[in-house]
Amino acid sequence: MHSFLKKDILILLRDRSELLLLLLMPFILIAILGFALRGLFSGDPEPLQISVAIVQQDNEKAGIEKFLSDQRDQGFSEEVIAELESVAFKVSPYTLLNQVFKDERLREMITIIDMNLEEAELALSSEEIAAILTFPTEFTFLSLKNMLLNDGGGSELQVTVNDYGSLQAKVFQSIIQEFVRALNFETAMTQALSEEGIVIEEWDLRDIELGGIETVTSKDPITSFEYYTFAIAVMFVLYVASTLASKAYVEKQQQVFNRILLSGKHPISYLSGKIISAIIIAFCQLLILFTSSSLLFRPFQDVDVMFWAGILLISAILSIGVGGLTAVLTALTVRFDNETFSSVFSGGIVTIFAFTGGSFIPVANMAEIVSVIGDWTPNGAALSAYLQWKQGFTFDSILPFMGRIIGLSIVLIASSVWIFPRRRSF
Amino acid sequence: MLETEELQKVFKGKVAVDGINLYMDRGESIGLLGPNGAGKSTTISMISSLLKPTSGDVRLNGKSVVKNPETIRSVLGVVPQEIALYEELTAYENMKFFGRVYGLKGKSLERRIQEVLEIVGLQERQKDLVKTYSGGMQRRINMAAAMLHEPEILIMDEPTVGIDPQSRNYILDTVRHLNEESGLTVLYTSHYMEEVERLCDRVYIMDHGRIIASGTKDELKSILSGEETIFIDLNRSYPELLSDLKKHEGILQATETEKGLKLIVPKGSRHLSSIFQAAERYQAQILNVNVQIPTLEDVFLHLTGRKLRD
Amino acid sequence: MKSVFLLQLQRLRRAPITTVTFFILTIAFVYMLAGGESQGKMSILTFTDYLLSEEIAEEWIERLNASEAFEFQLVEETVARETVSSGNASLAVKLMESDYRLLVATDDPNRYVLEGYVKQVFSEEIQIRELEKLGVSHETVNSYLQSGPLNLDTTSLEGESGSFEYDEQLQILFGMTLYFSIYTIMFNLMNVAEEKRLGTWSRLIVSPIRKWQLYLGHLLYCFLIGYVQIVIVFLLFKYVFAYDLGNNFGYILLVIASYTFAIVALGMLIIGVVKSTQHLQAIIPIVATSMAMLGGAFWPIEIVTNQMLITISQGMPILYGVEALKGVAMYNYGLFELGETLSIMILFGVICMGIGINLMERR
Repeated sequence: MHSFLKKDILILLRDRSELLLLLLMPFILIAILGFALRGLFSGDPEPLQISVAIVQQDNEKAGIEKFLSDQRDQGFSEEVIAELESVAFKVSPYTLLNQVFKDERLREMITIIDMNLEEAELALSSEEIAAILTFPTEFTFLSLKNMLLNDGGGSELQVTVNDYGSLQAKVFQSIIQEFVRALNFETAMTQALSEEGIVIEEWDLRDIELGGIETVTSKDPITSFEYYTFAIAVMFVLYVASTLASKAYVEKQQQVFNRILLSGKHPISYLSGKIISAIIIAFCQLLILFTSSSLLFRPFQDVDVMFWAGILLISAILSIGVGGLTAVLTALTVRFDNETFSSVFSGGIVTIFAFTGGSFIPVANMAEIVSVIGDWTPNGAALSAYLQWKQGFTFDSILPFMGRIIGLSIVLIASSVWIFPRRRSF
Repeated sequence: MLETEELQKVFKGKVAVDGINLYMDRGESIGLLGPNGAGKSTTISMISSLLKPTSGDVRLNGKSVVKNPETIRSVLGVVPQEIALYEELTAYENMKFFGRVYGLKGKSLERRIQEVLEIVGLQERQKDLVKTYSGGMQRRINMAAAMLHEPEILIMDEPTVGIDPQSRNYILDTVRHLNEESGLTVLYTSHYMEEVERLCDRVYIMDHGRIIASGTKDELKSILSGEETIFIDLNRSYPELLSDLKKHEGILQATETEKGLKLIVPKGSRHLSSIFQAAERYQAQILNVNVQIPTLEDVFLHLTGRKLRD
Repeated sequence: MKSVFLLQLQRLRRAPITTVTFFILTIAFVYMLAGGESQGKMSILTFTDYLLSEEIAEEWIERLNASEAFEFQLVEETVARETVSSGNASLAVKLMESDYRLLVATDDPNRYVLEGYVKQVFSEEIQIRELEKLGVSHETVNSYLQSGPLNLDTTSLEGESGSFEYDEQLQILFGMTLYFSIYTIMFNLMNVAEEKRLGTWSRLIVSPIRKWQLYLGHLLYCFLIGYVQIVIVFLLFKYVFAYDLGNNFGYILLVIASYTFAIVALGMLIIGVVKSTQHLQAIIPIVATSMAMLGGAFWPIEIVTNQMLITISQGMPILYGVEALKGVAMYNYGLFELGETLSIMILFGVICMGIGINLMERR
């Protein structure tokens, strides 16, 4: 078995391009994805950036003047007019919305540019901005009339987007939506109160302190780099299995396999050579991936030795899982003398495993069966274990995941021994 | 009919084929002989328009093949070194495909497939997948696929590599027959001296990308006409006899072999009697004496100083 | 050309396993991920503070579920924590008497939208409770709310009104089908590399058949295999699983054709670079997966905001394929809107094909 192991590893080392692909590709993907999706993940300094254009077709001051002079014509006393004036300046929707944009959270996220309509449409179609917010003519006048006197149908804000798929546009639209709803609600409350004869002095978009973020443990949420390092690593380590199995096919084709059988070695020792080399290669791959990405991109800040010990342990267990997969693929390949198994595995099964295991997107939204399958794939279980360990869970809580991988490996290896051809069948 | 002129091929600065001039007349059977790596395959790849020469030209009936590869393709049949067939298809399906590629259709294709299969003796097994064939059968069907379109010239690149003697004989006989009976022009590449001796009228010998000798078999062998080789089998080794013979001025070379001695002497010289006398002197018991007629192998050895299959 | 094409079909009939497997995988996978029937809402795990009574929790859930975009499910706290911490869901909502918390392990862009929505529901409800103390009924407020001062009108640049509802099912159907078709196309295209290895390629070169006929025979076959696979999957989901693929299937066929051409060409490029079938076996999955990740086949490209990734994604034909298909199915794109994406795919194909064949011929 020792000699088989040496042979398998030598063959892989000789084939530099393949080895490079196994190691380099996940590394590049981690870099690109982690870097690109940064900012969407809490704990990262760079939040979502949204540029929008405001097209002002209304004149706020003129609108308020018009509103007041209208009331004068209605014959209100100067005293009432003066009070209306002070209220109108305070509650003019344009002013209020500007206050919302100045809010600390939004100020960093949204960049506002004043433009005229043509400029704005041009900028939108060339995707320089995510959306246009238009204040139509008479906006202030009409909305104040409705707000303060419950007279008329009010006015409308217009949001124009390039396409409905854009996340920035979606977030911006929801901010405006929120504002509109809050203003309407506020107005409705005041009007309801005044109907009952209750007058409230303060006009304010009442900001009750609500909500907040909690993490599962006392540690910070996982950053994009960390998430993708784990997610891509557990996916790409699966390719080790198909690569080794396709090497077995070549050996079968070149009659090397028959020669090995003739040498009197038990066929199972050939299989165990494959399993152990898969475990070693998978473990090295994970190790290189974690080390190089933590050296280059510096995720995993503020972690201790215990953290790395846990990562090593999970990696070792996952590698055993990869060994199990290799065993079954090799056994099938040799038994049926067909390369299809390793191509279907690397082309289809790895993707399915990665998907259900949560390497691409969280699976909670999908059918129940998806997450059930995902939890039982070696990569899915390992990903959960890595994530929980990073969040500072105890060893006990990641134990079930590792148990699953080990159990799975035992089943896989047992069935591979059963599938593997005996000497008699030749 | 077909000739090459200063054919040269350079791969990445390395000259693989260097200035080959050869010609074939209609109905001739030509052998291209040389060790592995001599440039035989590259040469015939250029002749068959698979490779473009770096310089030089190939002419079919005076017209350049390099400029118009189409002119040669329909009159040429190429039997490649490897089994260039779809092994997951049956022999018949393979034949049908390659026949169509050569523009054969319908009944005439059908008739031709059966004819060719009969020639190579595989009619019975035409419905079997090629991958179930034995090595020799695969070689035969590989040859059949090149003959469907009734080529005027058949180029064969080591068509007998790695097969059993029976299949080999079958292929050689078939080629000889096609050449003699149907007037097919044959260019046969091999590093097996016996095959070329058996099949070919005229031989080119290649080494290191060049033709080092050419001519009919007899012409080539006459290169060695000045010498002959004598093998003398002895009951045991006689070192004194050997050293005595080495001193003998009429003997060009004397070496010890497993069974006895090998002597090279000028042709026509009468040395046998003095050799017997020497043997008598040392009371050596002669078991067998053999005067060898030179082979192409010897010619090659003579020209290059190495054996063909090194 | 015709005989080369027919030969490939014959070879497929003899060894159909790989192609058939990928075909079945596509259907099974899309069906499994998209859950068969259309739901359209994003489901959010919700759990309660141990102090909160079940009725109040149910009331909150009911109010929250008035949303068009989210569906809130009440689950046990341990379940929610387990799901979030193991990465199966990006967040969960914890309900309290008159407040809430978002439980986050890894973040996701939908959080901003969700947060805004939940906050609005809670703050309105709390204010209404205050008003009720003052004797103002819920109904009065609601009636005033009907005639509020502001409206929000959202339109696209073309003047269509629409919604930001992101159709996860179509995303999965399009992304996954196009992704898996890469395998079918490229594994079949490996026949070319295989023929070169076997020597049948040389045999065909020295036959009267022209080289372009030889290439065209192979390319046509791969194109057709990929095309047919995608079309069958789409037809299946349109008619059997009742997915809404829009009203213009003709345009969808056009998009598939351009995409398939681009992928066949990309395959030629890869085969031009990588010689052995052994290496192709290893490279094709990795190239396909990376391309799908970067090109937005696994998740909508819109969630990506980073300029670098956006730039990279624009080099991926799968991006244009998915975009164009969504355009036809969801926004009723016509030829004019599709023109740009289609021509990019075709241009991409022409370039790859040119380089690929060149590389292949150089050897």
